[in-house]
Amino acid sequence: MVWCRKNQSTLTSTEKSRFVAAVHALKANGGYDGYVQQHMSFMSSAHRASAFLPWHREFLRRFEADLRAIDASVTLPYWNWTVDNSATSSIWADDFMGPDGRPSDGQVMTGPFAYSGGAWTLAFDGPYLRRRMGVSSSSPTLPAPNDVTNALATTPYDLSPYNDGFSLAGFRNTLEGWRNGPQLHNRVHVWVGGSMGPASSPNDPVFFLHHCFVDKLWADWQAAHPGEGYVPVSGGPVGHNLNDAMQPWAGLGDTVTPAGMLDHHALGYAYDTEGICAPTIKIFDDIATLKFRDDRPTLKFFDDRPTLKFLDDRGTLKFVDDSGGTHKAIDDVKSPALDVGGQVKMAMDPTNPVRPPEGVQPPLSRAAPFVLATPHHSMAWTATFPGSLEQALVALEQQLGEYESALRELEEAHAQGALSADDARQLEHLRQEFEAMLVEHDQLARHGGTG
Amino acid sequence: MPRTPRRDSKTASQPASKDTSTSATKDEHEHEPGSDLRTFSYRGKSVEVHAAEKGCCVVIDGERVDYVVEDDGIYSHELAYQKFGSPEELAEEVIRQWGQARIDRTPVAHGHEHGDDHDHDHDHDH
Repeated sequence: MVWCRKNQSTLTSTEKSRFVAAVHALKANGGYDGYVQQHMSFMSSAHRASAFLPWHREFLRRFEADLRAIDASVTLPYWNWTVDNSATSSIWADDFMGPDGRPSDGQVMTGPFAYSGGAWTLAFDGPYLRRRMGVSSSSPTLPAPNDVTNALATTPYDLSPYNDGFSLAGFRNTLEGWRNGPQLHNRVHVWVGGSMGPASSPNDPVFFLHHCFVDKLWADWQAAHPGEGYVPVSGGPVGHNLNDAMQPWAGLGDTVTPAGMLDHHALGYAYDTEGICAPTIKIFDDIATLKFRDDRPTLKFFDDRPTLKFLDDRGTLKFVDDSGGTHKAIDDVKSPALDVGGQVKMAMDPTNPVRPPEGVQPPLSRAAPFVLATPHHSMAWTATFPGSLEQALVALEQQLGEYESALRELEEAHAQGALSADDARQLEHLRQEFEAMLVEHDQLARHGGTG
Repeated sequence: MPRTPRRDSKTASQPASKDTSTSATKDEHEHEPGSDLRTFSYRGKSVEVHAAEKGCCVVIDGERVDYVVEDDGIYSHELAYQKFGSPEELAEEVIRQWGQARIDRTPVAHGHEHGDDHDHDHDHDH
């Protein structure tokens, strides 16, 4: 199961706050500054040559893993700077990355990463975070969509001598931004300016959102050019060939090669545009509401399942029985003469199996509305009741199967014109319930996968 | 090894600043005869440009900024995502980025990054 990296512009306020909190926690335990130092110390291993993309893929993977160890609901968001392309874009709001720096010295004065907040003192090139958006004359604007389109159409992956030549026209050098630079990746660093300019650029948390988008573009390029492999396979600079061990991880006894970075799904994540992420659900908001205090004792879908009127009624759905010729429910009624073979009749209330007057269609079901354990409920009770999550999933999947089967039968009847307007409304209601149950199922399944 | 700067001394002493701000002022450069040191001021900050062969740096109000000279421009970890036509251009952009900031520029020990066959000059800076 892969987790989903989302466009930062689609994050809920709770998702943003949880990301920021995880970053703060990583900063507080010293882990964050380790990434800054690593980037500074191994700047040349990571840039201006072929391993630029795989090196940063591993760098981000480790960073994201550290965040998820703090809060398993967090994934790295990406910043599509071709769309959110100004200093007033929402990414720079005080609830997320915070704004541009002040004119005098570039210091970021508000937001979660303001020095005055006490949680963001830089260990290198500090003490405060700086930004100088659009100040550099070489990068007054962020890259345009057409720049990305052109880069994604560029092949091969890289060209000899696999460096940062001004006219070297492979994909890697184009995306990194040295070709006619600063462009694309480089241009974003320069445009943000301030702390994003030096080798210590991970000091600015937007570094990771920026590189997440760069990584996404590499993934997009790989999908668009499946026949284009990573080069150089050999003969390139040490550390940049396909099966070379990359620093600093090799020095730490961990062999990480460009070859091992090529399949990002195998690394555990996907991007929200790939179509393999789980449907977006508001589970992050829900956990924060801590509704489980109220909900836990009821476990609604366990209570409700045995009394689901629709399920009880399904076995006596008249139109099914009648079309098969059994007429069972009709036979029970005291007026069997009213039964007409082949006529589709609707379900009756089993508590009052008296046939209505001729021409009056009873409602499909008179059951009390089915109340789901609604999606906004917390999943926190699963921690208190070990094994309950699995039980809930099994029960819900059984219900879903029953609903699906019954809905199929009803929709066939509807297609034949056998349902009254009221029945059709009931059918639509059941469809909505079914959809709600699907959402709840996905929530439960996802919670089981991420918890 | 560091290479000879692409631009000659005369060109290097007159960098083509792209800054159009009215506050951008730059005094005439001074080039001491027989010396590799060039000096000028920009936005109220004094700049010393030391030749690449003599330590590869510019000094801005006493703060040293290392650079290397490559075939297609000047490269520095201080502004690591762009190249400059001359050390003077680098110094001016650094001054624009710093503004009035007081930055604790902590030296960082660089790890062993490449094998011997990696021909990047910037492996040897700092």
